Amino acid sequence: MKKTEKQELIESQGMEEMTLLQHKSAMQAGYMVCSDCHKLNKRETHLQESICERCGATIRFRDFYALQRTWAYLITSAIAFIPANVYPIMTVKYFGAGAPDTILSGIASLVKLGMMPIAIVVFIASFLVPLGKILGLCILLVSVHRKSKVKLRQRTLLYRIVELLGKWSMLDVFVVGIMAAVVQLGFVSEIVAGPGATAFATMVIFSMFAAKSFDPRLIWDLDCDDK
Amino acid sequence: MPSQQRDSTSTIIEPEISATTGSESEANSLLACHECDLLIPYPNLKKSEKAYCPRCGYLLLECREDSINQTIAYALTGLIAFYPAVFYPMIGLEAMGLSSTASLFETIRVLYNNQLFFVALSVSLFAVIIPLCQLLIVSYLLFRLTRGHYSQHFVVFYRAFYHFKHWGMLEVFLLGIIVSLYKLVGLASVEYGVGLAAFVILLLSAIMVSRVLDEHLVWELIEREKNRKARAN
Repeated sequence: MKKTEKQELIESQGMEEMTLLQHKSAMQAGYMVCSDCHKLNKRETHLQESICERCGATIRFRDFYALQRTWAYLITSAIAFIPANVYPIMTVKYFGAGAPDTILSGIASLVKLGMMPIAIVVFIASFLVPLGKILGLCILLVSVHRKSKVKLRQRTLLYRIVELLGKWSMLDVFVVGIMAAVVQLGFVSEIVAGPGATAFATMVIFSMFAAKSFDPRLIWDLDCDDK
Repeated sequence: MPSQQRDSTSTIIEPEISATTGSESEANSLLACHECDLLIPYPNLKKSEKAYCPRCGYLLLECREDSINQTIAYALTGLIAFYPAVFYPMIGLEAMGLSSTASLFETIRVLYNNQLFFVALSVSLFAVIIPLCQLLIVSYLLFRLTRGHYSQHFVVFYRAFYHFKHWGMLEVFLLGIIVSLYKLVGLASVEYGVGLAAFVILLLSAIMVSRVLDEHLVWELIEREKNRKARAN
């Protein structure tokens, strides 16, 4: 086995037994792991759910509905993605006149004004990241449904990226809020936030719920099964 | 790993685990990876050492030096910076003799006035209420725990803290400020307010709290105080 830096670190701490327990999951050993405090609770394997001894959270071996719930949140988020891009997110008014801007037309006008770096940041955060999140979660869900056994580590990495990037999509909502608050120069110039912002925030929040309700342990369960 | 080695090891484990079923000490000597459910012996870490899951690479444990005191210090710093960060003007704008300033609170108020109630609610949750709750909870909890106090609501508070962890968006808000500034610079002359400096301090201390805090240690402290109280009664 190729030793990574991390594994060498673990072994250097006198943890040779680590390899002894390799490929044995807590579920197979009869432990329910608390999702909140990570405590191991020994339980009979036929139990559906129980209460964590330490923190009182409801614990299960695996959440039976995790995949369904993730699908539900994901589809909601994908639906909200459409109005988020169709409806105007804000209107910039100079002397009382101004056209409403959607997310994409806002980015286009940034490019036209020659603000490339900021246009790229906004494009990544408010268009590529949400789209990538929805796609990434779809890949994870489908691969778990199909009981795929390949690229376990890469898929865990994909999950971590999806989880980590989630909140950065809120960027555009914050920008709209700040701009609308700062530019209050009465008749000269004013920025009004639009209904697209609501749809956008809904989309981001539901995609975060989707990422939270997915259980990466489902990816690895197949790795344990045949050992 | 070669397959023969895996086979030989798996036969060794079976009796070990089934022989000691139900014992509390065994549960404490093991650790399960939160992301792939791999069961491993509990690592004994020295100061500033980290343990990663050998299978999926998840950061399992991190032993931080002087975690509790540093966390309290950073949390209090954040709380001090909190009021100016929210209510003092962050950015000001001046054009054609007219000027306007905006604070974080003003941002939420304007969104509310624009009939975007849901957006106003989410901004106030993610950028104000959740970070505030996190700082309050962590400073209160650690302060009480280090003095050997225990009460039932500690567990509820700390679980709330754990769930809030993914919903605090101060850093995203700062990027939002930067993007807005970039857009505004071409529009009019921009001024920076005290609120912005306070907000950066708040953000830095919130980041430091999450970097310095040793979550397992806090759970162990809670458990220890709980058991001690149970024995005393």
